[in-house]
Amino acid sequence: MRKILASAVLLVIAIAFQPSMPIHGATDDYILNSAPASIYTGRPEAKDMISALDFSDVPGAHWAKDAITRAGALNIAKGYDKEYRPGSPASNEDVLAFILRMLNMEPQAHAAGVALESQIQDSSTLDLWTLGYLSLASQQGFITPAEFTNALIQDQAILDPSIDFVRGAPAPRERIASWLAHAFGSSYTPLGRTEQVIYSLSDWQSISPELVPVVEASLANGAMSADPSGRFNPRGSISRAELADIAKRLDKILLSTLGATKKAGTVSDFKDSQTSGTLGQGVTRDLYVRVSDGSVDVLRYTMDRPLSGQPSELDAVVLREGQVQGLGELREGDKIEYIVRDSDKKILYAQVLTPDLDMRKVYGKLKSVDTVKGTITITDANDKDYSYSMAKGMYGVDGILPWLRLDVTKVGLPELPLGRTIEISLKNYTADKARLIGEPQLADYRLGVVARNDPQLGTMTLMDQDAQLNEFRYYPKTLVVEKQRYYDPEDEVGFVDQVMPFFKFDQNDALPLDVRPGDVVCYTLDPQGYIDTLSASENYQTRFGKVMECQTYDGTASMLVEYEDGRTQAFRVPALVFRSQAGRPSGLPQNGDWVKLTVSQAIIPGQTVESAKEIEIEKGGHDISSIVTGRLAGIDPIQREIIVESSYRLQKTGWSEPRQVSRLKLDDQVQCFDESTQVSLEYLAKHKKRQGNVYLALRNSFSGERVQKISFRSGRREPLDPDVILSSNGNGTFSVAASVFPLNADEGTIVVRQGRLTDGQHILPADYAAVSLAGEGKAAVVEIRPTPNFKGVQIVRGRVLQVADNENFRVESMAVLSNDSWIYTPVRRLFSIDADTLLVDAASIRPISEFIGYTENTALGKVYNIALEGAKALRIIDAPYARTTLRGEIYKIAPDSVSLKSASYVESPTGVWKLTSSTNATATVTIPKNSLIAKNGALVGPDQLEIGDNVRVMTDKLPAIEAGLTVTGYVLLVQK
Amino acid sequence: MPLKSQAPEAPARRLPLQRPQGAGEALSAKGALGFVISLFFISAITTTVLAQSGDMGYFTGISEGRRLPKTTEEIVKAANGAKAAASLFVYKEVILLSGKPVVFEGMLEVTNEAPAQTSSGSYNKSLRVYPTASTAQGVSIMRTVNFLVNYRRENKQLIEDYSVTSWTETIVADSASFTLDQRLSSFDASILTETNPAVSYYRGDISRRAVYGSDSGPSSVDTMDSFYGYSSAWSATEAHKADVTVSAPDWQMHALLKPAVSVRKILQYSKNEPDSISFEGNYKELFQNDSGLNYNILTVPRIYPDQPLSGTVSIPSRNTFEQLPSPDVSYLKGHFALEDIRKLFSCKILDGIPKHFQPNQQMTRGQFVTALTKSIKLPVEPLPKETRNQVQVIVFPDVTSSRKEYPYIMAAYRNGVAIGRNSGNFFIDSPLERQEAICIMIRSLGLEKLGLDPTVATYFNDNDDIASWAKRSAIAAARLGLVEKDDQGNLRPNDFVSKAEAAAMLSRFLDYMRNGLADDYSEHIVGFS
Repeated sequence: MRKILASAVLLVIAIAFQPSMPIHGATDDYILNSAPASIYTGRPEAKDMISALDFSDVPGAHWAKDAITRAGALNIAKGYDKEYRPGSPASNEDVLAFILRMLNMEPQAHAAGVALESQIQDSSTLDLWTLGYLSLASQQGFITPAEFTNALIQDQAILDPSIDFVRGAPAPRERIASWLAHAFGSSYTPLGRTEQVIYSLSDWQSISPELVPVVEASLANGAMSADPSGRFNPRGSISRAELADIAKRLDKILLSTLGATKKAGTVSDFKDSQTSGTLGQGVTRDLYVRVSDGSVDVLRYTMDRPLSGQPSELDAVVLREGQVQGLGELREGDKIEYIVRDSDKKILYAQVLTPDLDMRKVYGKLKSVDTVKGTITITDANDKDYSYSMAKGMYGVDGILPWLRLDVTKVGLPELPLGRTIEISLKNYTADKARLIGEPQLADYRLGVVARNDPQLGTMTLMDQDAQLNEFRYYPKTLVVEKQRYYDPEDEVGFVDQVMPFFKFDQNDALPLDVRPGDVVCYTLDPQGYIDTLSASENYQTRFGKVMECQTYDGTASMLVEYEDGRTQAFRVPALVFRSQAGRPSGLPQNGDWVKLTVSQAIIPGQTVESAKEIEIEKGGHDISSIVTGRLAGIDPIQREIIVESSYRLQKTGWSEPRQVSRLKLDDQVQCFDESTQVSLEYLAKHKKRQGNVYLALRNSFSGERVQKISFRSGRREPLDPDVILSSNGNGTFSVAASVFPLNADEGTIVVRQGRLTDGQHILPADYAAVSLAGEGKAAVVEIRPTPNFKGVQIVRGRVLQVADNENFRVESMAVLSNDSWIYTPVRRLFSIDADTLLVDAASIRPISEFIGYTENTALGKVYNIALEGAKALRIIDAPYARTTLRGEIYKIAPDSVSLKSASYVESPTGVWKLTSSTNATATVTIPKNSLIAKNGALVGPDQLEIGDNVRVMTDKLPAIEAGLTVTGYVLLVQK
Repeated sequence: MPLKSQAPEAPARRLPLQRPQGAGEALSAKGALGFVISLFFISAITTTVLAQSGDMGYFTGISEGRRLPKTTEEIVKAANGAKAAASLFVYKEVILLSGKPVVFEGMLEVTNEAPAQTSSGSYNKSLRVYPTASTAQGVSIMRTVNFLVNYRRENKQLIEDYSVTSWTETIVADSASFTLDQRLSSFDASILTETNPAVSYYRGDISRRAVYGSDSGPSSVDTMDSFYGYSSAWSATEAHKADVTVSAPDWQMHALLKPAVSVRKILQYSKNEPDSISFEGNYKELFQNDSGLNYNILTVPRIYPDQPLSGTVSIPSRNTFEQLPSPDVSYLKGHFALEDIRKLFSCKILDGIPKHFQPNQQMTRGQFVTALTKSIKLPVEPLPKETRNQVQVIVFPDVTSSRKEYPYIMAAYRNGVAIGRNSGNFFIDSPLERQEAICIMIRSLGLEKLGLDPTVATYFNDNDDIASWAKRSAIAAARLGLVEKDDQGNLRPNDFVSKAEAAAMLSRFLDYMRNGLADDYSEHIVGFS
């Protein structure tokens, strides 16, 4: 039974001794080979001392922890049960006892106490020890006999502190200094006079004159010091912590008095041995210390467990990381300072030295957090709990909810991830940061950003979280790559295809060459360090800007974009980049187009790589809807409107639609120009009112028309007829037929091309433009319009021969409209029909399915007007033969008709164009449902006709010729 | 992944702000600690209900938008207190049922309760559209919809789920009348809102099928509407993109409708005319409402082949305005930062005697966080008047209630804008680094995601000087235009912020909240498919 118990005990000891990292001699190769200079053993009383010195009111981070522990280990400082009361003032009896113990006079004190106790009858409040100390103090001359008498008095309250010696009163500092000097004698006063020291005190004059020398000596040898403001405070008290500190400060003197030596070294190795025999078992641990002078010391811990009798342990008091522990806690690598008694080679005390700011991280499973005490407890892998006190900002209470700060988030106590591994950062043993680590890592997926990828060579340079570049290799043919597509960020398959074989379609499967610089990748390495799987995604951004230039060169386009804040950026647009407009694929953007770019951006140290992935051209947003001119009358700053007098809008026919006063809303970023210089709105409002002309370009913002550009011109307004630009130097100078001299478009000119505001550099020869001058060859407005043509749509009239329902039909003969006449061809052409083909008659639009070659509604043999696009019929219209032509210019548009001025017709016999009337050459053309209107090569509806359009109207017959005659127009062709 | 606290902290900035109906209203269900804690939460927050989704009617129409409250109005209402009533808006909608876009102009009435601060619940909402005198002849919409909205909160996010309890509708267009058949119609909508200190962002989707009966037979309108919006103290915008298919007996039509409403507060300066006037010119705050409905007919119905394929409808809206106080910034005459500082004082973002705001001096952390809190208009509890029986919550030892910044820093802390440094102090009087200022601003907007993910390196030349926690915000701020590379390409993240610089940054920050955000939701959506 005993044997089992003993071996169990041994087992426990062995387990307790298990170092966390059993590396022997790792720091000092020769330590075990050198013969130790001295072997120091522990003390039997150390075990009790260790528990006694673990004061509850001296936490690990207390400034005097070392001083108090050391003084306690040297038997100089004594506490009260579990407390030391470091903050309490040291009383006279405390200090006297302390000093006497420093002089190793404890036994004498005990004897004196015993002797005295027998003399004093009443069981006084004085205990044996106090009596002894006081008596000894009196004998040794620390206190006068009178003071001793005072000290013996039972009822201390009758004493007058100012005259009497009150043993329980705080000891005055100057008195302490005198006691210290008395205790240590000549060795207390350092060599050399140090008179000047005393005058550095701000209150030196309040020191009792006879004590000046001892105070001086105390200051000089460091036993006591002044406070930061230079006051010595001779009659003040010191705290018990400071008292313990004095012992530390008087190290040299003290240790020689005690016959001890202080040494410093590093624990380099340890050897454990066990003995077991018939008399019992024992365990020994020898700690090999490389002393600072190069020699080797051994600190020996022994534990003996005899078969009969009490187990004994020879240990020492060790202060490590703010905890009072035994020799067993010393680790290899610890730098220690230890005090040994020379006479019997006993270790009195050891302290593990740490650098000034001890910063370390500890890991463990979170067990609990106490916001009242301010502690956090974790459990390590050996199921041992460790509690750390927390820094103030790390925890708190919000109302009634306590919280802990994990990473940077406040986590309420109910939601703490208990049981999960956290990392605590300690600063001087106090926790100030906690981080959730989580569960142990099973997989090793790493994150990085691609800096360079070369699929040919199979190398990839990746940037890690600390911006360090590392190069990795891979096998291009076998590398598994998944890349998120910019148009479809969802991974529909998920992670399953990495976990097990997956044969269905995964849109994210990609090739190594798809991995571009800037991609964020997650990768794994095979045992040789080659990348074997890789998953990539890009950082996409959306940017909005205006295209300044877009040129194609060698198959790749390069585009210069100006952003809303004025910055410009150039992009290369390879052919693969998808471009669209209004939902349809489109060509490259042109100058003046506003675009939305999907750009992937990568920032690698040294360069920023950006590439445009998709371009969408805006439709409608920034279009210039009208151009207005007039005279500036004022600005309304509250309604953000501009007030213009005598305003006109630019129409086909030039400046028309006059209004006396117009109010137009201003865009937030309206640009104002005075001739060719850009100015502010307030400048124009102040200086250019009621003079000259302003020209305004209005754009379509999402909430209506807004003035985007205002340009002031002092010259006379002179609109030119729309005409072709003959030449242009690409810099704003151009010429038209109507003007002899070249014209100039400067910064202030409003240049609009196909609804986009552009500049003078983009006026190209062969553009068809309406220009309005402002004196001296300066162009105020240049509106470039699409060149009029009507070549796209062909209009024929044919007799239907056959119909294949909904597919095609054949005509046996047809007449093609060319200029104003129908040219007959007997060709049997085939035209195709599709769902968009409209079948129109005088009443309504019929479904195309009604165009058939049977039943009484048969189309065979009937004649229709057919609008063609190539061989496809756009419309099949049932209308009479429109043979007669009328020409004119639209001046009024009504819901179902237009009115023409300068209306002329062909007089039949002569073939000459004549006006319908000499005074009022007007005509009205009604537009029935079954009419065809062609403008600019396309079929349009009646609402696309504009005032100023020149049209040729084909009608079946002319009524009597008179002013305002009315015809029915079956075909209308808009010319200019 | 770090777990987040479930308990709601303070009345967060999700609109509408709820006036606490009594002590303890803002707490979660742990009300038993009653008196002491409730005293802490009593506040004078106004009830102003700002723009929310639904102000446009959920039927791809537009309204003029809710006006942002004037400052004076807010202060007066706080004293009087009022609960939000039904809101009435001028309303326009484009009717496509007849085959051609027909514009209807009438009134929209929205009756709204607001979600309480609890973690889940429900409330009622109803919409009513009716014609008025300004409605054109032959055009009319009479619509009444009642919703039951169920909502739940997950941390900063709120999910609202709409279910229709009743829906009646009659539309008249081109003299043809269409009546809704509720049995065959369905309406499904759900909105996700995330609240950040400065701005709340939301997105919603509506999937709707409306089947009508008319003389010519049944027609149906299928709509897939996704919309985005945000609201802040300075502007609010909502933009929809609706894909609509109309099916009539003889024809079908496909169109894209983009209604958007943007309301904003902008500043306008005007000088004074007479010389003998005791204050210089001052700023006015203008309240501008823009609304526009952009429609594109993608597939034209056969019966109307030649109609205009696109158009814009908008509701003209008069700007209202309010005078702002005129601070005495004459001591800054000639200084670069004069206007920025004047603006901030006018908007009461900087307080106190202007002359103490010397532009060349450093800005302290306390001053900056206070100014930022005011600029994003976080709800702030005023300092408790009596100190007896009050629990004064001290989170930072150096921010006590004797400091006038205390309520603002506490508000910033509660909303996660400012955390303080690790040791627990706020360092209220210490200088502020540029990178910290950038981080705080971006965090209050909630736009860290504008930086790269992960942001390992930035493109500033002094990238190594930027702290790792500030890199992402630095890129985000550069994208928003809050900071820019200087001439040497540096960000100078460790430089202390001077008062003039802080004024410039806050000015730019406000400008972004007034205009920049609005443009991203309106201009950047409307012209693109």
